[in-house]
Amino acid sequence: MFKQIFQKLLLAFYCTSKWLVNKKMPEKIIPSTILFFSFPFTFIATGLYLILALSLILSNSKNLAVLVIGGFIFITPVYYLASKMAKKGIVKLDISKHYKTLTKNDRVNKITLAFIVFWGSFIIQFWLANMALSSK
Amino acid sequence: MLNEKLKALQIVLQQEVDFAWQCKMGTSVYNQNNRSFGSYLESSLNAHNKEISQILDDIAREQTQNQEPPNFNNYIRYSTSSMTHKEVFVGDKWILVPNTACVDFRTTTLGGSRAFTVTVSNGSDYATFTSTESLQSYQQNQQLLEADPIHLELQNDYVSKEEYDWMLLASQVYGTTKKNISGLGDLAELYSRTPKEFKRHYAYKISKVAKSIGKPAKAGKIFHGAEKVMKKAGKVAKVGPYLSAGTIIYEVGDAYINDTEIKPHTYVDGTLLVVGIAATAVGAPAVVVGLAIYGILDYAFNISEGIDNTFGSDSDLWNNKPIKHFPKKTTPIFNDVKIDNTYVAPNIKLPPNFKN
Repeated sequence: MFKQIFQKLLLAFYCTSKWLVNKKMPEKIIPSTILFFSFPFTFIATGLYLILALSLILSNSKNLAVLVIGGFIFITPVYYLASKMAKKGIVKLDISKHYKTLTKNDRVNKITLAFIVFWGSFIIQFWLANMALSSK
Repeated sequence: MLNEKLKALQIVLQQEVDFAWQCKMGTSVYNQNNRSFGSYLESSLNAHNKEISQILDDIAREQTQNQEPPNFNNYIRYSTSSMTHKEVFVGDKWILVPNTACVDFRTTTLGGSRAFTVTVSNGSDYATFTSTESLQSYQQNQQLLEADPIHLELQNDYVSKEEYDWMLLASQVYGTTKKNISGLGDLAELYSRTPKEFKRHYAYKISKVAKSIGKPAKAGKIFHGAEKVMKKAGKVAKVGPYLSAGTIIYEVGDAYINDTEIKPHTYVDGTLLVVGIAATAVGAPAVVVGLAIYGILDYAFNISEGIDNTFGSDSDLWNNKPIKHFPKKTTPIFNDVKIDNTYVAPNIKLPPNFKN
């Protein structure tokens, strides 16, 4: 179950980077896939961090630098794990082979899925941030 | 003749008035039979009733004899606007009539006064106009408007000698006589009319200038340069999540401290930042350059503040409250009034026969 979702997401982001990456730089496809895959997780992690730590840190010390550095520390494992998962997944699940079996229509659908996941998580981040602000 | 009759009438009336006045002054104030000046005048005028009525009759007769039938030849003229039509005077205006139409004038009376009737017939259509106004009176009325051409000095229309020379040259070279060449259409027209030799000459000159600077820059080279930069900048994209998370956490924390909501520019800038990171990862120089330009503009002109003012929670965009207390306070523009005695001469020279 988890593996299937993971594979679908990874394939979607791979399709997106295949579509977006500059045609003269094919060596950039895999790094950008990893980046795009790990972005939504960091977004949601940022939102969760704001819910958990915003009022806790800022009520004690009104220093924004502490908040930001705390955020970096909170995000790092998420980012690291997500990128590592993506790196391993691309190799193990043979994403590039899977990509070749897809038709053009399928690729467009995958790109749409990736778009929704990416910007949906971006919106969720702000939703969580707003919740953190309003639950003061 | 008419003046003499009128003078005679005046003399007779003056005599009657003088006589009545003498009668009035002759009688004593204490007289029981005290008559007023009006009653004396009435009785004296009644006495000379026949004389006065005769003079009036003569005047009336002379006036009717003086009225000649109008010269209908002047009532038709050639039209200045169209060659196939002629103009006919119908009493209060000139109307355009086809040259083939038949026009018939007749003298008639309208309400006891002398009038004329025009019948215009063209094929099966016909129209009849009746008017008491003659061409003479119409022209006298129109004279105020048409007598002397009113001289207006419009500065824009004034062409100096120098301008005239240039216009003459332009008409010879380009075939245009317009003073102001405005609009792209005119420019394109001018360019198309420019002689080819002229164009070649300037192309040659431009190429010389380009040679003296160095090798001419080509669009392809610029593109390749941008790509080289992107190859190096791609590594920056790995820090992307930290950048986006850092800025968003900072903005939200700032909002928390200042006790406000998340400002709209945070959403916009955050989205653009993520797009920019994606573009660096992907290797799209155009997007990165565009976002960099946005950043410079934001720094220079503070676009994010404008976004906050127009879309923020304090802006009128979210204001659903009905307006109850409309501002009524008025402040005087001028605190003290001074009478300005400056006389501004009118620019229009009025015709000499103009009467106000």
